[in-house]
Amino acid sequence: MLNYDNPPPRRRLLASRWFHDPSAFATEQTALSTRLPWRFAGLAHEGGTGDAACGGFLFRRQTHDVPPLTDWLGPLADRLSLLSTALDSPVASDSTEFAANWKILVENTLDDFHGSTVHPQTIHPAVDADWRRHLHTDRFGPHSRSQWKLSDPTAAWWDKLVTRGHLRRFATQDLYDHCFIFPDLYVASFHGTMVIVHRVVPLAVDRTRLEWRTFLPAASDDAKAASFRRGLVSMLAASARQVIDEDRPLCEQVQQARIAATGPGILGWREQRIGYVHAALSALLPTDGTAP
Amino acid sequence: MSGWVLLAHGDDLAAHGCWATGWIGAIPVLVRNFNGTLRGFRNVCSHRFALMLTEPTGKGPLRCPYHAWVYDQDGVPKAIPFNDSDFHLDDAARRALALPAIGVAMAGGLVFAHLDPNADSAVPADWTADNGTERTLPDGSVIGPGSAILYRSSARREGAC
Repeated sequence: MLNYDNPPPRRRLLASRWFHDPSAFATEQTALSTRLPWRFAGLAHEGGTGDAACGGFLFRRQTHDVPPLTDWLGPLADRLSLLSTALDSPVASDSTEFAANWKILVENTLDDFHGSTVHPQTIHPAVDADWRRHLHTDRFGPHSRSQWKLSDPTAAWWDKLVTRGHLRRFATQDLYDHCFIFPDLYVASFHGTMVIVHRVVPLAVDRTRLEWRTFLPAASDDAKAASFRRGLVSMLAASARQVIDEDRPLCEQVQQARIAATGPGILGWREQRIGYVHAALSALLPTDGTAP
Repeated sequence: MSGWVLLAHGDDLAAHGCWATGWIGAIPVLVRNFNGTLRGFRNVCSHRFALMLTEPTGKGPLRCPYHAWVYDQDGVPKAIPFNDSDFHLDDAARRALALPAIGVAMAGGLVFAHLDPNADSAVPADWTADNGTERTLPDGSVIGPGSAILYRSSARREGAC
């Protein structure tokens, strides 16, 4: 599926002060808390509270006269409902802090083509070598979704895991699927079975905590399969951590250098998900928030 | 304050491909030897603003580790992965994304950098007369006999949150 056969509009990126200036950070956080209709509030299985739920994903209503949550989420509401079937099987949780603005983490996770340079031994070989042809991206307002076809060896590996570990699949898809809900939630799933829920938590203009929860649903209580899954979880959790640890230095390098940038930057066709986020933020921020 | 900062020892940049990095306040900069000519730029990728070279010195292409953009002696991105499918930048568009140049001066065996590419390169020469003693330069760096760098103020980033 190649859906990049037409040039997207060139989108402006937010000016650097939104990444470095503490007062800009305060302004932005206020805008996100008072002008955004809905915001992710946690997972139901963890005892979180919210004003509305989409499956196991809870959301807080932030303004009056908001659209229904399903309208705000658009077609991704169905996706979150489907992913929620895995949320009864938490197997690991982790977090780490980045010395970087939260938007840089979001840019990084929405960047569909740093796999070969930043994740050459992890994500990159897991997806089809002809990934540009097999990458499909959709946008729904400020939210977006990308789907990569897994490489044949990776898909075969997952098939074996499903068999030996009696894993339950919520969808029959040989995909690495990445679903982003503006501004701070993204959910990755693999082979229609493992789900990793990520939350980007801004701590300061130059500091962010990334939290993630891993879910691996099982289809049976078979003791041998359960034992296999326990070993598998350790490996998968370490792998997830490695990917984040590969991303962190690059995010921090952007934080260090962005204040010194003199040009507007540029987004490639496969970076348009980033442009959607900047456009959505620009609409929320005071009118001087757009670059340049 | 002249704006010049000590960046490296000339020996660090003696061969083609050798580079050195530092900070002028909060601005990351680099100087690289391009076939015998020292050229300096802001150390910020024009694509998505990553700091490109992170070690104090090294040897190799001027390449951003984030998406592998490679820059030439004019600071123009000469290699852009996926340009054919994702950026579609012709020569003029690439030149528009050139890294901002900085001033570079060589004096007393030392390499100095200035954010203004047209800054007076004669200024650092007055700093480096070797009188056989340890000296503190106007930028706060300290050099010893034989132009040995004892402390380099540009090694640390300043002025940013």
